[in-house]
Amino acid sequence: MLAFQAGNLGAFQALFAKYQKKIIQFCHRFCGDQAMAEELAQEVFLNIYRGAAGYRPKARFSTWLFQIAVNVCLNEMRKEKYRHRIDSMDASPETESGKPRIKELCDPAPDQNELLEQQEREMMIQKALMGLPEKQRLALSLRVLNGFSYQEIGTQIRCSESAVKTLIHRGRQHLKELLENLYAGGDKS
Amino acid sequence: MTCPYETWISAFMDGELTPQRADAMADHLAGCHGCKAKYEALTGLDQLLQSLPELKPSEQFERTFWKKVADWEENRSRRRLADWFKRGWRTVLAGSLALFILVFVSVFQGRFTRSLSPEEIILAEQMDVLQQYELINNLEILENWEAIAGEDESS
Repeated sequence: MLAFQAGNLGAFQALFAKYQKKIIQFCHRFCGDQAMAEELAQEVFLNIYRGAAGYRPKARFSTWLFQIAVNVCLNEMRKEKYRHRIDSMDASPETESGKPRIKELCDPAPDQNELLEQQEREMMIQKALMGLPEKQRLALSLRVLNGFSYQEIGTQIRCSESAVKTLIHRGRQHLKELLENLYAGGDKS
Repeated sequence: MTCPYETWISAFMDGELTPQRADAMADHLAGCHGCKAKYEALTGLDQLLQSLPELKPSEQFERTFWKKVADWEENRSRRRLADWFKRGWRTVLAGSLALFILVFVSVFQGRFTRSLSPEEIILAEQMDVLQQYELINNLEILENWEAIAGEDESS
C-alpha cells in the first residue's frame, strides 16, 4: 500500500488481485447477492484507490481494508435499494443475470442431487446470516470467515473489545437458533 | 439456570481468553455436559460457515472495476481543470502584475544608473574646468554686455 501511495500502480494491482475474492466473499455474506457483493467490493477498492494519500500504516493493511468494507456495507444497507434486493432474494435462487447460481458453486461439477443439496444448504445458511442484526453478522463474518482478532474487529466496526466479544457470542447463538428453526421449517414442509 | 461459564465459550473457541481463564474453561468443559454440548454445537456452526463454497468473481468484475477507476481519473482531471479556472485567475493576475513590476524596474533602473558616455568621462576628467562651468556658461553675458548696458541707459 505504501508503494501505491508513492505512485506505483502495479502495487495496487497486486493488492486488488490478492484481496478481491475475500472482499467479494465478505460482502456476499453481508448482502446475500453476488451482483450486489461485486458492486460493493468495487466500491471498497475504489475507496482504497481514491484514499491512498490518507493511508497511515497504524495496523495491518487487511484490517484497514476490511474496515472500509464494513463502512461500505453499512452505507449500502442504509439505501433503500438494498432492502428491496433482500426482499427479492427469497423469491428465486437465481443470480441477477438469470443464470442458475448452481453453476457457480462447485468446480468440477458433482452429482446433480449433491449440487442441489449444497445449494439449498448454502441458501439456508445465507438466509440465517441475513436474519442476524447487522453488527452481529459483520463481527461473526470478520471472526469466523476472515480470522480477525477481537481487537481488530473492534477497530473495524468501531466498538470496544468487550462489545465485540458479546456480539460474537450472541451472534453465534442467534445463528444457531435461526438455522435450527430454518431446518425444522424445511423438514416440516 | 444458565451456567456462568457459558458466556466464555465463544471467546474460548476464538483463543481470546487469558491463559488462566482458558485453563479454567477447559477444565469446566470436561465436567459440564451442557457447556460441552453448546461448545460442540458452536464449533460445528463455525465449520458449517467455513465450508461455504468460495465465490468466483464474475468475468466482468475486473473490467467494470478498472472502467470505474478510469471514469474517476477522468472526472478528477476535469475537476482539476475547473478548479484551475475558478481559482487560477487570481494566480494569473498576480503573476502578470509581478512581471510588469519586474520589467518596469529593470527598464527604469537602467535609465537612472546608466554608465557614462566617453564624452562625459572626458568632462569628468576635466572637473577643474567643469567647476568653472557656470562662469564659462555666463560668458555670453559678457559678450552681450553693450546691449545690456544700452537697455539700462534707455530705462
